[in-house]
Amino acid sequence: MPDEHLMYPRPQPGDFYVHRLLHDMQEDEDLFVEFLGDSDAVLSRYPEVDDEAKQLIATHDYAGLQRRGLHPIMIVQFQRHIEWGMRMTASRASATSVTDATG
Amino acid sequence: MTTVTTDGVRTADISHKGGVAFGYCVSHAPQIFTQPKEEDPAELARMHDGYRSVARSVKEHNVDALIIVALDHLHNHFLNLVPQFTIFTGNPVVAQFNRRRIELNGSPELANGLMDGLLDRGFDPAFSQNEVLDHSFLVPLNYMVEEGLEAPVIPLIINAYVPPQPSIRRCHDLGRAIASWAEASGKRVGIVSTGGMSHFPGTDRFSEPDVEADHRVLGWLESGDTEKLVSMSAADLDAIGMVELRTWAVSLGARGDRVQAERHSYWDSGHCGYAVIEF
Repeated sequence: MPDEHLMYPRPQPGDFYVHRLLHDMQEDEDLFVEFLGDSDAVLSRYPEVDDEAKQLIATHDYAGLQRRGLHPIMIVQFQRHIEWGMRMTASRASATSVTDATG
Repeated sequence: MTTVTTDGVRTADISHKGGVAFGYCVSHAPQIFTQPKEEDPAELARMHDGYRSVARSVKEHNVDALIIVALDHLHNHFLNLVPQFTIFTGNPVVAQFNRRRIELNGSPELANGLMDGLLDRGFDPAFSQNEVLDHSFLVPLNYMVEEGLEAPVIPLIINAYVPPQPSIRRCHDLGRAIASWAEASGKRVGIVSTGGMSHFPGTDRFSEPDVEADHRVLGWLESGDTEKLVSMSAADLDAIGMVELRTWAVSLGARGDRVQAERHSYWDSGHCGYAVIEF
């Protein structure tokens, strides 16, 4: 591609469904919550996405997604979503443990 | 109160006739809104004061409509269809970021009038009657809601991040066409553009905005040497983290070629140059 040197290069058509998966989780909170609990279940519903991309997404490998050439905006929004989801999970766990400790 | 006609000449009070009454350009980084502890609270407070000042000014101008020019961070305009320019013609205008959701008055009549006016002037924007706008709209509009903006809002969405994007000159010319429509239709509008300055979200250069480029571009705009910005290539803009300045070019074009920017504030936050300027 003539613009592959750009910070924001033209998305590769071959990665359309990888972007589709990231976008679906970005826009559908129920799907994202399901992904946090059981990533395999969500990823199995995207047969067009290859195993390498599924592994990068399942392991939250943002640098790997970047090396793959996915759109930086999609990656950073996925990262923010994951970090927010983990904070919420930790917050809920903390509240539960306080409840347990206080009976 | 002044305006600038499309030939770049400031004119006197235009309360009785159409035109572009003002052009503001502001950043929209989500950190301005979320205020993470990593950001200097004193500088953020100064930014917020600047946004509120812009919002009060927008309200006081009492325009027929506020055109807000921003972008879509691949929320509504996914890769199945990426329009270069989109006018939101629905009502209400809704923007959301995290848990904050705001609604403002839209004007399908004025927005469709702008659509028709641009089609008559060599532009072919897409239109949307239903989308929830993202933080690039919410950050500045949030302060306008707080200040009680009553004028209807016409969102204009520019493809800033997905190549191939419109050239910055094309965005500038779009601003000229908007001004031409406003003058011909007798509508008095204002423009707020949101984006920039240098930043690289989602990349290895996130912590390395090109601050020198920020000052260089601000210098051009303050001295009226706007052609230097308008003549930049897509690759030039990408390299200095200013793909979003396409939105600024719309305000610039709408306010005339010889207009000089007034800098209200600038702050290098460490990941983005936050700026508030006025044309």
